[in-house]
Amino acid sequence: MLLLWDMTQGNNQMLQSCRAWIGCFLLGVVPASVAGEAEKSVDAWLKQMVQSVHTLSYEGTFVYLHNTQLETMQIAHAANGDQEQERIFSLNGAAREVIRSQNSVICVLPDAKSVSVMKHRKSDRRFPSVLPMNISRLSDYYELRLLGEARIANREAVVIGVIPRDPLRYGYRLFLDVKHALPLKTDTINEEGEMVSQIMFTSLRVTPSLQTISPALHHGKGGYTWVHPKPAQEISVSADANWKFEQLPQGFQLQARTRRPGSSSEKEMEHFVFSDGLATLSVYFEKADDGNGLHKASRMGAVNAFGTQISGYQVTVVGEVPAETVRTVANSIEYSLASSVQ
Amino acid sequence: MTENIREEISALLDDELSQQEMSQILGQLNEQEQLRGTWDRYNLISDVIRGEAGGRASPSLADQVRAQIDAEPAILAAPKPVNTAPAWVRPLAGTALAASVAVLAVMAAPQLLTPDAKVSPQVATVKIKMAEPNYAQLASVPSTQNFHLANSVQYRVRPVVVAQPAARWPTQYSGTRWKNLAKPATENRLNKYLVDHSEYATQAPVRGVVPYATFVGYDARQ
Repeated sequence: MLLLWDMTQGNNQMLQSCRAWIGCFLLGVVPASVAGEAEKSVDAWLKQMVQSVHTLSYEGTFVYLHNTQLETMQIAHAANGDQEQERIFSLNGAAREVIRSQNSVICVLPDAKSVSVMKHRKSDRRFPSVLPMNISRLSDYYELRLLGEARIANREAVVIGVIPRDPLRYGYRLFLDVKHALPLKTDTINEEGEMVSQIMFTSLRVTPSLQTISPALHHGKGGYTWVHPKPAQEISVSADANWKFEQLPQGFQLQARTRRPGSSSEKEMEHFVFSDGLATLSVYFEKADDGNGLHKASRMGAVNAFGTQISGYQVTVVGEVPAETVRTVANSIEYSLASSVQ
Repeated sequence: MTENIREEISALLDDELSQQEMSQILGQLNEQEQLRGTWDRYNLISDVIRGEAGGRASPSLADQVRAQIDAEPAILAAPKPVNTAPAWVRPLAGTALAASVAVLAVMAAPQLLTPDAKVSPQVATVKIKMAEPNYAQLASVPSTQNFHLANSVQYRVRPVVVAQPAARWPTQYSGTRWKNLAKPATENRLNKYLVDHSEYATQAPVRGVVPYATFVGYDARQ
């Protein structure tokens, strides 16, 4: 288990991790002419980014590369006062579409001939960010560094490194639009310094006039099945649980907890969400009464999963964190009646 | 539908079955409409989440499997002479060629503009490598005739050189999928987890536009 490694080994891994990162960044641009922009701190850039993503109206096309898989998508985001709407539309494969607004998520699936409408559990849930932005907390686990400047989608960008301080989380390299601080490119980088995924805009326009978004019309009208999934029940994060999480990476705190009641088609499921303010990992519990649970490691893009059985329960950890992290978290969970989670 | 059949079909889609086992499963799929329908529905959710092209999710799964089986002899056959490359190779190779040339045009442009004798062969080498699976087409394009003498050697070896990469080429498009999993039921469950997880991951404050990339894929199920 990573956290139990002796110091030498741990340090060694950290060192390698750092080396990989430095190598990665040396390839970047030397921040000579970025001096003017450097006056704005990394914190300020990140704060402006979060602000811009929510309060600006914009539309654009981006590519998404994870492992060897490449996808192209179109995004339109409309901000109108405190109202936000967003549509993401897949440009390759099935013309899938997701429309998010404050109180619902609508998925149009032409390949499945179905439309799913999911109401948010809480009508006052902020879109799309409910977690408070806390840069100072973030800097306990990540080093934030201005790396230089670049040009993405024909726009000037500053490059910011979000470098993990331990090998238990991924690092990020953000290319922020100099004018609006929108993220033009995002690289997710693993503990070896390798890119796990890349998202890059090929075109992006900030369009203040865009105030509402309607679904694309190419789907036609007839023949679609409408589905209204029931939301899970939210549970207070301070409530007692029957599980103890003994080895969460430093800084991962319980952010949300839900329970989905059992039904004829679904088993009862408990869901715990932990986050360090940037990376998120989920832990799921279900009665292990069939052989279909995950009992090893798996991965999809930048998402790692690890499953095991504990006290008759199938326990599965899923998150955009390194494989070792999901494994460590899963293996350290203990059944413990009515105890506090952390 | 039994778990056993599920696993066999999964193995089939993952190219893990022998020719004989394939035929058997295909036969069952063809004969039993109900089985086919169940399987299609079964696949639908996970396919949608994976962000695949919708191929397997369509009701014509069996047809696609059959098409794949039909293609098998061509794939398994001994390497053929240049002009009779299996038909399925051509569009793939053509696309690869076009793409690689386009990328090369951008990537190699500065080098091409430099009249440096050392540079040109490098560029040519890259071109040759990219185009490897499709020598037939290359050879017929006059503009590639100025490739070096080495090419003619490679033409002759081609049946050996090409056979291996070609045999390893995926015979069908496989999209975003969980690694190391051959069990659809497990994959399906992981997909559901991923959906729930994403709802929270997308709310992480610093992620910006990032999390929504996968969203189109997985918010799709339910």
